[in-house]
Amino acid sequence: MFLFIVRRLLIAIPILILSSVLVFVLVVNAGDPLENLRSRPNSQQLIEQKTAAYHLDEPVTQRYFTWAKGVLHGDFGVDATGQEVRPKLTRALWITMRLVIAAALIAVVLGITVGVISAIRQYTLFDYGATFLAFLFFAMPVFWFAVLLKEFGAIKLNDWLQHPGISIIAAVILIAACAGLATIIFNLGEKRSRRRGRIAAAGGAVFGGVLVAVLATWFGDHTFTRWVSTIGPESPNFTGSVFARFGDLAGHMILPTITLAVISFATYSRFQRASLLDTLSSDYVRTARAKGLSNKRVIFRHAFRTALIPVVTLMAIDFGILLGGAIITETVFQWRGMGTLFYNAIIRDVDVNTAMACLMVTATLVIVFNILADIAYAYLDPRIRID
Amino acid sequence: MTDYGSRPGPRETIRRAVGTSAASTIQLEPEDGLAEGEPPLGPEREFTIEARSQWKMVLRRFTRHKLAMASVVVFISVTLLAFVGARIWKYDYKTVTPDSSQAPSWEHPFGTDDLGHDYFAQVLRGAQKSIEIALIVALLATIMGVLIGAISGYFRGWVDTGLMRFVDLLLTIPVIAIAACLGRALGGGDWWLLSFILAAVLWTTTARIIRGEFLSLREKEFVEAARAIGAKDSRIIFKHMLPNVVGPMIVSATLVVATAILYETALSYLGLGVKRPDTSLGLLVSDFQRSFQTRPWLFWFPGLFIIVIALSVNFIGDGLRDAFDPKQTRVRA
Repeated sequence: MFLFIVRRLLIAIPILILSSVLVFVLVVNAGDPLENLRSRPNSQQLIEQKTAAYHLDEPVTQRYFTWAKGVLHGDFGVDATGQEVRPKLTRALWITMRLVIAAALIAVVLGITVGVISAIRQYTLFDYGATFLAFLFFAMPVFWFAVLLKEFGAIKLNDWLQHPGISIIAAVILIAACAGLATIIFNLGEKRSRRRGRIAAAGGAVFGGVLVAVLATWFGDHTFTRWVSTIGPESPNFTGSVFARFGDLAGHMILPTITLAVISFATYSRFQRASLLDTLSSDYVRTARAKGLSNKRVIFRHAFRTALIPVVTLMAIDFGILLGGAIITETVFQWRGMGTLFYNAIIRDVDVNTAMACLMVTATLVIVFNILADIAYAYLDPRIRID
Repeated sequence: MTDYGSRPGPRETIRRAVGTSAASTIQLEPEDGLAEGEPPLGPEREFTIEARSQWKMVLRRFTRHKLAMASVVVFISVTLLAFVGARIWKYDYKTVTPDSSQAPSWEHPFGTDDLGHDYFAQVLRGAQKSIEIALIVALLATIMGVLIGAISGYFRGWVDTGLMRFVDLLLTIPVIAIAACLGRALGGGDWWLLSFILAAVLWTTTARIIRGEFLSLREKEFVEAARAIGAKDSRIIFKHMLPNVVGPMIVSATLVVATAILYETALSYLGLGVKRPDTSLGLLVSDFQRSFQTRPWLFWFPGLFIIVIALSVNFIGDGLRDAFDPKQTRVRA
């Protein structure tokens, strides 16, 4: 195991170096770093200063080696305004990682659960619903979805929290939704029947009724703070207990996380469904069934582990996509994370050091996650030995 | 695999012998949905069997996939609306009308924006650009992916290792980041340039798929036979092997179309794609995201167009994948 990780890390080094070369060439050629200076009154002097400070007159190879030497010493250089890149990067990295890891966790847990249920209850209402949702999420532009979330998940919700209450139409819809969901969920089990469905629907309706009563009476007498936020990763100058601070962070995180998780959720649920269906039709699963094992045991002990393998491979690739998606999500929600940092470094000003730092961190993270996926892979598939 | 007539299984033969219609058994399969319109299989059917080529079978399976066929209809109508409808419609996307910021009406079905542009014309123009870009990207990315995948899978060895490591390398950099750098470097704005940029980053998936297919195909007897009679590598690749990977190729091309539309909109949203005075669906959403509360129609329509286009293309791709899948086991009554 130890040897395997060491070997993978050794392979990762040349990949990282090549990746840095490729990215350097891309970023250096992205535009003219002196563009913003040309219109200034004392442009000649400013241009000379900047050229000297950033070695702009040297050939690309030489600039690359200067940059690489700095990075090996832990120095990421200075950005376009002359500030150190490293403290900025650390701050941004923390913000982005919080977002990306939360989104990945949600997507993995929900995606795998929904995928498994869809597969073992193929062609049920649940399966069709999940399939439709997944396709819808695939087809939806992230930023468009984010604007909708802002409107309905934050602004309207906050308004409602200020004056809670419930109209008759909303109450009817809520009760019907509870009944419908209960019918679908309680009919997912081993024993399914019309009667069971009817009982579940009745139970769901009662639950919905209680919910409506609570919302209309107790809840309606209170006023709540505007909890869900649409801008930034936390409230500026927030003072309060640790608990309140946690609530503040959660209120800021919830929408960006959902936005980012949605597409990955769709991918995972589709993959998990396909892969479990594939496994369930294989010979060894038939053998397990023929031995007389219970359905639950066949699915969870025999099939599920194998079916996870392709999904785990997908996760490693998807992590890179998530990091890329963070560029858009952070722009929409105005988080000052790595995505925004990179975006500003490329679009506003060709700020090579900042852009390089962002992309190198991203590449490292992708490689690390690939190694983790390989380890998980070996753990899941007994035919693979990693030592 | 819906050809019940061509090779009756034992159960079928018994049923026919007993005189029950096979159609009744077909309805037992919930995923079937293909049996309607099929004449009841009578004994005379057994004498009118015609062999079906692979292509006919694929086409048959695809045309019976209801969702996929509905998606084809939707996609073609949206495309027609965007390309033909935009010409017929009384306003051009550049025309500035005196009515600014109007809600949807008969005069302006999608309302107007703050400058007085007819929004229906704008959305159609946007859809036109988005579809054009997506189709060109799919074409270019497929050609590139197939070439690289084929070379990699056919020659194996160091060529394969080199190319595939390069693909791995590209995967360590987010697609949006590469596209952003290229977009900025090449100035952006031109829609065909944008297609080239997107194709340059989206070919990797196709290349991987085609490589996988080629790796297994090159071990087949017909390839060996072609090599034995002295065919050149290029001839083997293009004449013998490529026709065998048309299925995966078409499927991945449709999926690239859907991805490309979303990336185009995302890049335009970030200000790196199509630029004013031209317009695209992503640019429209980006420009009017802040008008959601005051003039929601400016936000809803372009977004819905993106969803409809991407959704229908995805469903078409799904239907094609089912149709091409040789392991297809559904519907075997």
